[in-house]
Amino acid sequence: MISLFIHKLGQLLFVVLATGLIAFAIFSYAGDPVDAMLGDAASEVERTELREQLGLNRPFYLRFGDFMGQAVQGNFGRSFRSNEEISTLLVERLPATLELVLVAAVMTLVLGVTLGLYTGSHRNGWSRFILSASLLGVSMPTFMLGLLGIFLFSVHLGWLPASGRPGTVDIGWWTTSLLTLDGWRGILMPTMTLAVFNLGLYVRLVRAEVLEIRTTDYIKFARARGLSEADISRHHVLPNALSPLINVAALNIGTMIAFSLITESVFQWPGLGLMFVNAIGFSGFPVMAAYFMLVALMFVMLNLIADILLVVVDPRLRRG
Amino acid sequence: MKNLLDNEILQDFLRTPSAILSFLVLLAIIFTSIFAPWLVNQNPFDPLQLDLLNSRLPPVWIDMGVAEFPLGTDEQGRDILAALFYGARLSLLVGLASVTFSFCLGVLLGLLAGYFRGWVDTVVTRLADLQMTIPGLLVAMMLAGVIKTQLPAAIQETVMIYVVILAIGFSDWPRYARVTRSATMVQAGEDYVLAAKVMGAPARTILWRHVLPNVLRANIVIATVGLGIAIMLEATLSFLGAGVPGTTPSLGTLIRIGTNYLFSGEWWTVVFPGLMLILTVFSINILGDWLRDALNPKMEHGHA
Repeated sequence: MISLFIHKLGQLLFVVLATGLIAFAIFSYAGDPVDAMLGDAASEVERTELREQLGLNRPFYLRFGDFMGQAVQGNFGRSFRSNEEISTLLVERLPATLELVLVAAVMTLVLGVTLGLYTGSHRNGWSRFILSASLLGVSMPTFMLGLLGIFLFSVHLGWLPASGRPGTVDIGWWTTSLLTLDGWRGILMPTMTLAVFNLGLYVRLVRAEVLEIRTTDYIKFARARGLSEADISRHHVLPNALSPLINVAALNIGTMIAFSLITESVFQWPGLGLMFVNAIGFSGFPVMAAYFMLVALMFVMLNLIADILLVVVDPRLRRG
Repeated sequence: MKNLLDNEILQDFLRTPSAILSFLVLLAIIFTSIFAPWLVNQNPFDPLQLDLLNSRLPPVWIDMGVAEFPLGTDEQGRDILAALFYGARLSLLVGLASVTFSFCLGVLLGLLAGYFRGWVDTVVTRLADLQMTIPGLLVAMMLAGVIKTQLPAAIQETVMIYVVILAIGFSDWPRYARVTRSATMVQAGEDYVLAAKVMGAPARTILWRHVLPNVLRANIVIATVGLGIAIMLEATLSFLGAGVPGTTPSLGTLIRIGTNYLFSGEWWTVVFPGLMLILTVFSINILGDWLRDALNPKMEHGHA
């Protein structure tokens, strides 16, 4: 088990280094921030000066070493546009994204497992309806769903706010929208938008898993022993479906962190994703690089947590 | 044997109404996008054919709507119906091209990794694993976003579409590579490959003639699902402004432009391209779903 953990940790380091290299390559070779900041009209002297100031004229290895060293300490430099510390920006915007993803993830997991179990063990009209709806869900681009939601609930009915993150309360450095009614009204539509695609995916995965398990011999024997269908579902299908689902859940949450950039753009939700999309617009490479590394890191961490959870849930893995 | 099998799949297709329906819808969409120039009387990509006097007209069944523009016009006087046909054409093209790209790249790397093993395998598997840890959306966004800033403004409009194809195509190759690699490993152990080796056939021939046909089947399902994902990804990139430029709008670009007018109540510039997009992807996914079940020997051909 310890060797497994070390192996996973090694993988994590590899991913961090590799994404760091990609992030840095983008950061240093793509686009000239000097052009973006000064415009075409600036003189050569001004350009050289700014370049010097930003440290853009030193050799590659020095800058990469610097970049990684600073990144490990959570320091990603300053945004070219606002000249703010990027780490400050990240900390400011992290709560908005994490809350969005958290609420959406809870929604996805609870509904996904319930509906997946149901459709996997029933073949009736409801089951067919849920499956068709889930297929529609994975066919619906996230941004389109958000726009339709805005059109219906904000423009047409006027029930929910169309953009922004209203009603937040500060708890230390963390801002939350989960404590006020306004906050919930604001977070409802973005989370639903974010959840639908993944919910569709999750229902289908849980169902496939359940169908697979139901063809195994131990289920046949359980049925032969005269156990009720409900008992079989609860004591035989669910526990066996759990371990593959943990992996998928981790993957799912990671995907939602990335997908939140779409939702955040549609609803102008002030999180990390919106920051990233805006950065693409003005060639803000340090911001893009920082976001890229952060999301990759969260993704890998989630997988690591899933692997540890798997060992906890499945005793068979403890001996390996 | 192969004919019998195909027949069985055809039989299954004819027994599945949802598959037939989505196939017909898809056929209609493909038809309208190919013959768009003859079906509508405006080329929405040609600024000379747009008349600002016709701008922001509602669909024909609403007051002020005119029969010349059945689904209304946008702020540049672009016929929404024409834009739908041309936009779907672009979306389908980009989707097909990027799926072809990831298919070829993934299958090639998977074949090499599964057949030669050793360091080739290590490199390919590592790269695939690495890329799988980063969501495809992010890979495509980064690629398209970064390359876009590198292009001179003058060629951006013509080149950007290829950038989008490459970015989306590149974001999805690991899935093909993984499946192909494990299928190749199985095939490489079979007697017929051994026989070909003994006869002195070069690796190129063995892979191309003998192994490839046997690993294609698993990839077809991935490609169908991949097409839906690619079309959605293209729309998303274009919607976020990192995709196809506004002069030759794809469905996603149309929606992005349309959102500026959503709040003033001009819903038709967003809703119609959106519905077209959803209809296209939904049909592809229904077909993909059916195909997966039909090709899966484990399932007892029921579609619960």
